[in-house]
Amino acid sequence: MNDLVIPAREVFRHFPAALVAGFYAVALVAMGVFAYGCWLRIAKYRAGRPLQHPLATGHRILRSARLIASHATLRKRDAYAGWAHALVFWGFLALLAGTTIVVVDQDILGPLAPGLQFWNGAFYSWNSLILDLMGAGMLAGLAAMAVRRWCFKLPKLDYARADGQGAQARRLAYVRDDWIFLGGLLLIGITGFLVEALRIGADRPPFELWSVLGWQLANGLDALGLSATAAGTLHAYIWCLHALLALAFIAYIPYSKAIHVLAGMASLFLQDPLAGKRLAPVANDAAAAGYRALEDFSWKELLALDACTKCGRCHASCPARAGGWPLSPRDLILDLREHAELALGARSWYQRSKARTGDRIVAGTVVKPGALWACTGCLACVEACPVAIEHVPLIVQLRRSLVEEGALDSNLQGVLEKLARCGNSFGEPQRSRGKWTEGLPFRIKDARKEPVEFLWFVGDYASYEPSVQPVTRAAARVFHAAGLDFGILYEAENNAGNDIRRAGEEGLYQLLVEKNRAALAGARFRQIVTTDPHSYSTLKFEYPEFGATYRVRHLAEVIWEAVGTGRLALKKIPQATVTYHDPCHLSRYTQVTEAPRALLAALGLRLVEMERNGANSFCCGAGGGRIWMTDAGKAERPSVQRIREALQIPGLKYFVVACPKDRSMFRDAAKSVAGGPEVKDLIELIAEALEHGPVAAASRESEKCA
Amino acid sequence: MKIVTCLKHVPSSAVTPRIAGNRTGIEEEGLSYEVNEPDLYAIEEALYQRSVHGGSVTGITVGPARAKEALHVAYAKGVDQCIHCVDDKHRGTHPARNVRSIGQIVKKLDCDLILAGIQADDDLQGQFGIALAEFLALPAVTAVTEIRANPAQKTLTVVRELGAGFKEELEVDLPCVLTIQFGIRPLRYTPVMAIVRARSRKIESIDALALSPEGERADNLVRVVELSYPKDSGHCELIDGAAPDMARKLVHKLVEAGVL
Repeated sequence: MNDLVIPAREVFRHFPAALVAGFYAVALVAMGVFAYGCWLRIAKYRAGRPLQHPLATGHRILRSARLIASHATLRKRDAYAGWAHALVFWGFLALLAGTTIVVVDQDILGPLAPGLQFWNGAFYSWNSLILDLMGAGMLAGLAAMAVRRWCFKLPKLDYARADGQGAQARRLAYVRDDWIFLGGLLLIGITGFLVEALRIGADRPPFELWSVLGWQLANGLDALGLSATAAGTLHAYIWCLHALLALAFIAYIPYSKAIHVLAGMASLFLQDPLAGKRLAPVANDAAAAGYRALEDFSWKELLALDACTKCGRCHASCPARAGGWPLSPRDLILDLREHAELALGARSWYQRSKARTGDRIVAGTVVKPGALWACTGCLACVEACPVAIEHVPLIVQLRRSLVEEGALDSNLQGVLEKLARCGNSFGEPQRSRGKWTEGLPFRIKDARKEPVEFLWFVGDYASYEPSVQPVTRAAARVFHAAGLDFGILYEAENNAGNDIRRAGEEGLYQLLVEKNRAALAGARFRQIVTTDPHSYSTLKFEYPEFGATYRVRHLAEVIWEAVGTGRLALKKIPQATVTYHDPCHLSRYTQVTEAPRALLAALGLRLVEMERNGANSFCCGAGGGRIWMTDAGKAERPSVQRIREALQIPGLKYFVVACPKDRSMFRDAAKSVAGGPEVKDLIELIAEALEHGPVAAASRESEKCA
Repeated sequence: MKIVTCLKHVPSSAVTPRIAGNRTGIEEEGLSYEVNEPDLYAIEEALYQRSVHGGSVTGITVGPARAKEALHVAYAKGVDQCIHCVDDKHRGTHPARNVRSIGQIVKKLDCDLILAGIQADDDLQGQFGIALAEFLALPAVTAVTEIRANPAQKTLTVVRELGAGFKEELEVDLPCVLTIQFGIRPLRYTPVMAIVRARSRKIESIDALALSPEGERADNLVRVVELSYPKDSGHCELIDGAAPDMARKLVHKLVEAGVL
């Protein structure tokens, strides 16, 4: 032996040829089982319909690669799970790369181009070091995950169904799958290190110091009294065990939770950043609206069902689930997935051929109407999901098919009929939409007759609900004092349609959009301002598709801009501790979270955040048409739960809202809670604090002469 | 069971109508129209009977061109076939002619059951169903709140409302005419998209004049003499002050008026 030993290793160390052949045979079988399982899955996805829009692939590759590499979605609001998963993810990838290197070097270059072989020398040493560290990282991550599942007792990992429909047995199968996955990977990792330690212990090649952990483990085995020869013999057995486990795992992937590795990445790649914010319209030639059966789903949606790992983030953040309604976004996805398995995919060829076509209907059967109607469309589930599953669009599509059948909550039915007749959900005459303006000391311009800078889209609740009208008048005074050139559409304005669309009545929605589009086209203005977040998000994201594209902002953004540029001076109001409840449609939908907070600070108020704030805000429960539905949940209403959350802040004076529906819901909820805080609209606070700056005074003057 | 259901396209209550120049009718201009609500209950019941016993449901209306919108709603709800008897002269408001037109159409249809709403929301006469039955020489039952059909035996058991919460149960032979009371079963929601889709479905059109030429005696034994607006004969006085004073003043006024 010469002094210079080139770092390398013989893969099948001391194996008889028969064993090597046996290994390749088993590997081939494992790959075949894996491929078959993947084919079954792909066949299942292909039963779905094609996508409506082309994919824009290039941009997606970059975006999803960044997301996956940074684990941003996983680390969000759960650093422990995020980092543990990152360790497992990168560790596994490194080990996979390591195995690929061996395959390329030994199985491809070896027989075909031995001169090109590279898995030796310095490369080998660095490779060994990195893989040792990454492998250890993977094991550490897995151990952290095991501790999390076993010890932390997290509510989001409680698999019990939200609708209380027994079937615990099915859930135990999920738990078993979880532990097989976790335990399997742990065993593979541990046996891998053991194989390395045994080999190093047997041969002790000097360059294997680079395999830092393997070397130390070998020392450990030595200390336990294992001789080099014994280690050498044991090595073959443990090698085979490790190989069998690893190959079995690969074969198992498409039949288990492990498929999320592939399906999750695909789902992130296919993610629609406007999921839920911009819903898909019903095709003009569609025989029926919405999804009734599984083949109405797109292949992307069927694929996304497989990406779910039951992490429970959607389940934990859903206000309907928290309020005791039979809806859990997680259960929705799992029920659809299980049904798709039965009807479309099946775990075996035999089962596939036996699957009956009639089993594919899901709306109202697999997913119960009670669960579908409980959704508020708040997008908490979509925002929380680490693998970009888009629950809300699915729920709306399923609702659409229920609406087709005419099966609706009777109150909702009445409201939809009022909307069709009068353009507002109150059933009030259209001509009295502008009546709230009576009693203001100034006239509000009619944007249909005179040009204005800002068209103020007021909204139903703000116009017609008596308890909200004072806030609307306060908003008008804010506009006026800020010297903004604004006008409204008076009786030409109709409900913007946001909640109607989310309730599944697409036809009525399009009717309302058409009326509003015509009214807007007939008015002269530069941009739209709203005080109603629901109107804001639909005007911004959904109206352009129907030919009404305008710049839309919330009043808070416009006022903050005026304050920021010095056009408007805000007096400080008496100091008080307040908390701000982000409306769903201002936080998750349109990401307007800074302007309201900046305004509160400018007013001199001390803002203390609730635990769930910003994009993690907790819905009041009124969206998605829920405010018009009468069924109650089994637990405390989400709005009451939110007030209790706010009351954890000591010395809280005001619960600040920025949405008329929030205002109604929380004023009601605060009455039910002892010591409930005073609910104030942001607009009311600004109106209290307005000061007359020179610019504001000048434009008011010019307005009087107009 | 082959079921025929009769609809009327009536002005919606959202807008107050104006009396026409001839003072015997109303101005159609500016009014919005909808399907007569009791007729919607009749359609709902017809569809229910079809779902239980099979067969088909045909919707018929008499009225001007705009009345086809009523049939669009019928199609959207799930009716199989619609017939529009176009009446531009009387615009569907002449009771005797309506009966004659629909009666002649129905005679040729060979149906088992004819349904209509208990009354029309515009004239509140409640006579259409009874007159139709008379024209067709069929039995008529009004204010029906429940139907249990036995198509094989060609009979029905119906429950009808008597008032003060009382009901009576009758057995009727098929074919017959029934007028349907409000609330016989919940009205399902008709999605706007279904109505839009229904607009492209074929409606069979029959001219009312062709069915009963103008020369024929009108057969209307009732004639509208005059329509007039209710006179404002009210007087409203607001009583102000503290609660005890207001109560005292109110009692005084009521005694003055002879109420107490």
